[in-house]
Amino acid sequence: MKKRKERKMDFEVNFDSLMDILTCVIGIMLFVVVFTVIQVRGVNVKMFTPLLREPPKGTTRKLFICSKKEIKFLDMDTAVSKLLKGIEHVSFYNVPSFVKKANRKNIHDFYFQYKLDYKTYSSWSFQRREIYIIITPFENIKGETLKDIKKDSSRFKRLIESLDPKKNWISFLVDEESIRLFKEARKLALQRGFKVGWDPLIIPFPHKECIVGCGGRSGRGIGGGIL
Amino acid sequence: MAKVRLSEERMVSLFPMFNILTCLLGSLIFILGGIIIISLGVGRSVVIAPIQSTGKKPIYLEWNGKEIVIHPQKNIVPLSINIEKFQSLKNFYADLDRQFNNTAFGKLLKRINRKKQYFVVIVRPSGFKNFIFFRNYILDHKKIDVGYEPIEQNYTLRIRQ
Repeated sequence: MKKRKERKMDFEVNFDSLMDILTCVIGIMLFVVVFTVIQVRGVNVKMFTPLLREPPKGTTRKLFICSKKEIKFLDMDTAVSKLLKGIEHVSFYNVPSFVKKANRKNIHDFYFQYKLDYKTYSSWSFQRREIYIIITPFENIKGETLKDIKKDSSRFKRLIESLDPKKNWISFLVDEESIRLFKEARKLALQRGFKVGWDPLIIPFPHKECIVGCGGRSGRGIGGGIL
Repeated sequence: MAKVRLSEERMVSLFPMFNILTCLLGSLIFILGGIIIISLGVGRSVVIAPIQSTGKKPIYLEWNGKEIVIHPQKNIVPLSINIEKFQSLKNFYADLDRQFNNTAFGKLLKRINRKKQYFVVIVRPSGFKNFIFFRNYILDHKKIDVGYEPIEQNYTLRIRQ
């Protein structure tokens, strides 16, 4: 009688490789969890306690608009002084001709155009005219982004380097989307030695603001203090 | 008579079970990590560690356009600012006085020491539109010094004092 040969299993299932893979996967998971917990703990921000103060006397405000993640220099004070040149000789009756003449000067800077307008108030006892400045951004001129201002060649950096921190202070008007941009720009300005302030940007553009004959502001305005 | 011999190689190996348990442990760690993240809150958090730069002690407030949050207690005081309704600043400020009456912020306004303390307001983007009116109320009407700083909307705020 022939012996039936036992059929032997030629192969064995070795789980060592699977064990290595699983151990590796667990290691990666642990690393991800640890990294995530560290991230979730939060970012520590050291913040100087801000306090609103009047700007130093004798200094000029330089205003920057941080809007839609772009920063633009709004040289309103220079534009106003150019537009209102000769205003001291202007009476109620020649306001319209003065405004027309000022607008012909075509005052503008790189980002904005500046024009004048006027409004007449009259009643049986008095007549008054107010002069307004209208600030219109150039549609096709983009401001600088967060990435742009970090470069040495950025317009913002070159501008603040050309200004004297003892004679100027910087004010930012910031909208909801541009907080990070504002903080970077502020950091650069502070490094240069400027006093800096900020306010939320709540004025729409084109912007119209009374500059002559308004009887002063009611309440504290925006962009007027350092922090 | 043929002998039936049990193969010595056919042993019960526990290694696969060990591996499955290790994998299960890893998955549980991952789930636990996810639960920790969710319980700590969605979004990044900012821990403000103030560096004293003024002579006064700051009291931190948070403004989001509708509520004031007084830190560190996190007392929430609702506030409605509708300046268009009022013909004068005086009436507007009187309305805010009325809203703050008998609230935690109203009590804080009464007991604050103006020479030694002031407010630092952390302003959320949702509070940008009407923050200037709130600021002027504190500064011009209540004669309390104020400072302010913007913060992103989705950041969780913790102030280390």
